[in-house]
Amino acid sequence: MEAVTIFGALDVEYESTLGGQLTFQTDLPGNAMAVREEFGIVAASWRVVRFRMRPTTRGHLYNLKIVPYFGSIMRIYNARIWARTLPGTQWQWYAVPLPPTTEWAPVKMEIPPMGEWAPVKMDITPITDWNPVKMAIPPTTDWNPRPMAIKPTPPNPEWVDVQVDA
Amino acid sequence: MAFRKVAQFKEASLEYVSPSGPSTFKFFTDMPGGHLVERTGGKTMPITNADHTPNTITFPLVDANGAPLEGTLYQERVDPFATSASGGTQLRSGVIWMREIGVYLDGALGEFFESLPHSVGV
Repeated sequence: MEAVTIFGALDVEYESTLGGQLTFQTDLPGNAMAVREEFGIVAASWRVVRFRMRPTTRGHLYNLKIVPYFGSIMRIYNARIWARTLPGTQWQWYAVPLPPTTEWAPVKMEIPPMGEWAPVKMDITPITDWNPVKMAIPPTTDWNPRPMAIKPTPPNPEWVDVQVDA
Repeated sequence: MAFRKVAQFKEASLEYVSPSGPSTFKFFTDMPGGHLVERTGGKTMPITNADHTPNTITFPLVDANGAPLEGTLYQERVDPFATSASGGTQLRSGVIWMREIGVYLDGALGEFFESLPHSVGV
């Protein structure tokens, strides 16, 4: 069974445009969660506000509810509670579990990264080894007999009339 | 409590090359209003050297009151200079500084925060 706790104060770190309402519930008396304290939260830029509880505010359990006024924006960064657990005599601060606000952190934009310098082969046809290429010279043929253009001598002489001066 | 996490945006930093003329950086968020809207008015990325060496630049991401921009969605955009006579805009890298708000309540939406019952004793 949880020990009975006396609640002394509540610190809330927040900012709000129009303010709101904070209610603090405990389970004592009556062993049922009921609203024991109500506080107005004023409009403010980032600040810590302390709400003091009545000396009779006690319980095994507590919860808090924060409702912004209509149209109000509220950012709650932190909360802690000043409490003493019976039968102890020591008062101390206890953190109220809240979703944490993160630190500013860098988030990389989705820019495709630059490539490193890298060699890329150009599309140049490589030089081949020396190869013989035949020149277009018509080939020399073999010796062939070719008759000369000499009028052949007839086998029998022909008589020819020769004109003589009279 | 907002179903989506609300983030705050503080600044954006870019490394870029824009040798033909100034480019423009734009930053959109969905708050307030729920629509992705450009929130900075467009930030000028000055012309860079003709030798295409990159510049770095940082822009504040704040509203008219100097408060960090907020949103559950965000979008960044760069518009290049209209002509590219000396080369187009190159984006080398970019970083946005942001944080998530633990509890963000919008009274107009009827949101509230209520913790579980806790015990400080044992």
